[in-house]
Amino acid sequence: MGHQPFETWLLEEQDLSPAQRQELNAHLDACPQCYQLKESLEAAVQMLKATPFISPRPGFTERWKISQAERRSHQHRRQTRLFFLSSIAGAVVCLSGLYAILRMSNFSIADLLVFLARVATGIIGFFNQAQVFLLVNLSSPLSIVFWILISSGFCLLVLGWIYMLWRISFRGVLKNEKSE
Amino acid sequence: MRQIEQQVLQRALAGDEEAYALVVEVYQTPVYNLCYRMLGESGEAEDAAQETFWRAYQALNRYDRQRPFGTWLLSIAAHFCIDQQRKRRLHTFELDEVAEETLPDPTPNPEKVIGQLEQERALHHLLAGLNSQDRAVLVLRYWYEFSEEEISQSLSLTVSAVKSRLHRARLLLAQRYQAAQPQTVVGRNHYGSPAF
Repeated sequence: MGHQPFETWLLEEQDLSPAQRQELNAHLDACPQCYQLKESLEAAVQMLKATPFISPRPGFTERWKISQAERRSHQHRRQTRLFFLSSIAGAVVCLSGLYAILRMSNFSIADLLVFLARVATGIIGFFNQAQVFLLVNLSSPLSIVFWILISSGFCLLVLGWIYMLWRISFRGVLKNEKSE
Repeated sequence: MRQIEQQVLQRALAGDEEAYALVVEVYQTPVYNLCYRMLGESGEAEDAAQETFWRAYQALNRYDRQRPFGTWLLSIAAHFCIDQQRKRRLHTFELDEVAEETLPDPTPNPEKVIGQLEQERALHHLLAGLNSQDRAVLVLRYWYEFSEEEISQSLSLTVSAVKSRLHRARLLLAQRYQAAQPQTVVGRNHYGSPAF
């Protein structure tokens, strides 16, 4: 005996027309296999629907809070490691590139040192000239205030930079969190 | 499934941790139940539920507000549990692990407890033969009363794939039920069915 389309009708939760339902009933009367399938399916589905939801052990939300704090701390540690590793990797790549350039050109280490010394001397010279220019052109009481302001601004910038590095390294980029 | 107040949800989405703790409080049971039905072990279900809430917390800025929040959470839980099962390649439950503490109503009534334990064991046996995605489809359909469209959205499947998985899962479910109770089902007079 063929079980189609009756088996499909039983298994697909289709809305059957009255004619189809009559046809299915007639088939179920004649086919013990399909009848048994229908009965078992209904009983199993009934069992699923009748089984209540299971709750977690009491204190789930408290455990979530603890777990959240641990996960966040773990995430920050991972960000810190990533930051330092990427910094080291970047430095290694730069130095390797520099070394490769030196190897390929006829530019020796000594030449490089001389070049760096010239650049450093040039920078120092520039600052000396700038200092002389400012001292000559500004009156002495104003220059003291000016230098204090410049120094303070510079110190603030350096402190801001250090704070930013510390924040990125140790606290990570805050996501979905209120500022702490 | 309980719905959370929109105001609390808005606060949680804006980054309020206390509001998110309320979200956890409200949705802990549906999420845990899904994880338990998928993984079949209370310890793993607890870990999976915690992981679900963490993943949801991390992805709050990607939550589509047009979608019900509970459905979105369950979708995360279902995906996580399916991945876990694929990693473990474990398709069977340990029937002995159905512990009394997992029962929904752990009252001191021994008959009731035994009855619930039996029901849980029978249920575990029924679900044990299904693969992870078929099991997820079945759990969402019958415990959470999701429509086929909602299941397809939650599990990132097409509606026809959901239908096909439901078909296969229902057939297997009936076969396993039949196999577990040969005397009671085979011996019945099928002409007396009230449904037809």
